[in-house]
Amino acid sequence: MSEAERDEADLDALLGAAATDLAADGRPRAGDDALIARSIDGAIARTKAQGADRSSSRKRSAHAVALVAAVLVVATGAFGWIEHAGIARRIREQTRAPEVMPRSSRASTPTTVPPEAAQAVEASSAETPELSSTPAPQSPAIDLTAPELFAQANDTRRRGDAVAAARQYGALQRRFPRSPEASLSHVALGRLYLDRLVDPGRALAQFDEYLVGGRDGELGEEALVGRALALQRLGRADEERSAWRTLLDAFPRSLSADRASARLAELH
Amino acid sequence: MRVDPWQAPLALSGQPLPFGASEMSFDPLAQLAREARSGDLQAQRRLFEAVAPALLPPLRMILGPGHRDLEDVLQDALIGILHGLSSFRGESTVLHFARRVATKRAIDVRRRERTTSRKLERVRQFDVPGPPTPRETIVAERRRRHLRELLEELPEAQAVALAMRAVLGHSVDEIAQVTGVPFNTVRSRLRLAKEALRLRIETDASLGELREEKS
Repeated sequence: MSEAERDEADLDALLGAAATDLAADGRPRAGDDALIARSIDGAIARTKAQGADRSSSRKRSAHAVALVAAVLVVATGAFGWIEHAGIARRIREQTRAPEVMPRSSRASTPTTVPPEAAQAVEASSAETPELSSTPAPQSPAIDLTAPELFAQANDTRRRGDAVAAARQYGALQRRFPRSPEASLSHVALGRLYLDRLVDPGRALAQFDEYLVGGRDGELGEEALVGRALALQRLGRADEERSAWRTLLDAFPRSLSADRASARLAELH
Repeated sequence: MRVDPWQAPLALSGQPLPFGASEMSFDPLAQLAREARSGDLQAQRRLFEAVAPALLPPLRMILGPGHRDLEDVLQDALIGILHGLSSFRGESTVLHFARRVATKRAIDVRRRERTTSRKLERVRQFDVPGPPTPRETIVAERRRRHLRELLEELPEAQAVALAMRAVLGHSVDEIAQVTGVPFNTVRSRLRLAKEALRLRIETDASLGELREEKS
């Protein structure tokens, strides 16, 4: 065996020993099943929330495109009327004058477009930056719509900043309490409190808010599961038992049915 | 019975992990992965249930067994697997793929934590003298520590190659195959990583004392 081969073998032996040491830390532990179940529940809830987020984003884009099209029709009609009235030349001269020059990004837009139409174009461009030739300015949070706030909070949560995400979900709920996004956010925020912020009391309040709001919608099952888990962590066994039963009654084929049954057996 | 170091992580997962094209054609999770990728929520949950137990060992090996964010990292890894399925081309079994995603996620977490105060907490925790332990236990603990810290400090490509070798038990050939990197490049990365490990261990004063005690 050459010197280089011996050295390689030594290195392999060293790494092998370290790997064996590491492997000892990888052994299964008590409580792994529960840890795995919680992680899977959390991942599924996030997947569902992302699906809802994508769906509302698609709707928003469709609305924006329709709005832009309508505004263009109005603007074209207005410009045609102006041409017909024989004042187009004067308007073009005005648009060249520095004191009435519109923003450079919209240099071709006549200044005589009805103000409400111009505002609508501006608003729709801000909502759909991909339709604008220049980047939309950074909107302050106060100007965000419910879907935008929801998307922002979801992004923050995905980046792992649970505290900031919780704050943004809270802002959404305060500003747009009746919006579908605020409704969905109760479940997302509930999971955040439950899984990341270790605050089952607040988690429970969020799940309850979703359920008592009469929104037995697409996340009803997740809300019931979250509620039962929150009660479990709060040690409120009687209410937890009742929560699991409610889940099984409402969603007998729930993906968490086995877990609910097992927990009910433990609580019996 | 001593466990083969390269098979230990696989054995610990409790599941055989075949590697290679012939086994891949019988990948029991391939169909489930396709359904999960298409957005079927039930399939996603079944896939998570199938792979999650095999993800915990590599996560614990890299993060440490008592890591406070283990559950969150597992959850992130599951989401990452789902997202990654869109670009997964069957270079390995789905379970291999899932374990690679989890391993990479754990390395990312360690490297991110390196810049935070948590590292200080870990160091303080380590430096607190505990009850007397056998020399072998101390040596093993320090080797583990050095290996984990290397995963934070090495250039990312070396760290990933090292983890795939030491944690997932992949051969150089397998690492080259799944990462799409030439064999010699992988071998070179591993050699540099192993030399870095040797350097750390050789310059560890505590380990030197232990060696002297033994001799």
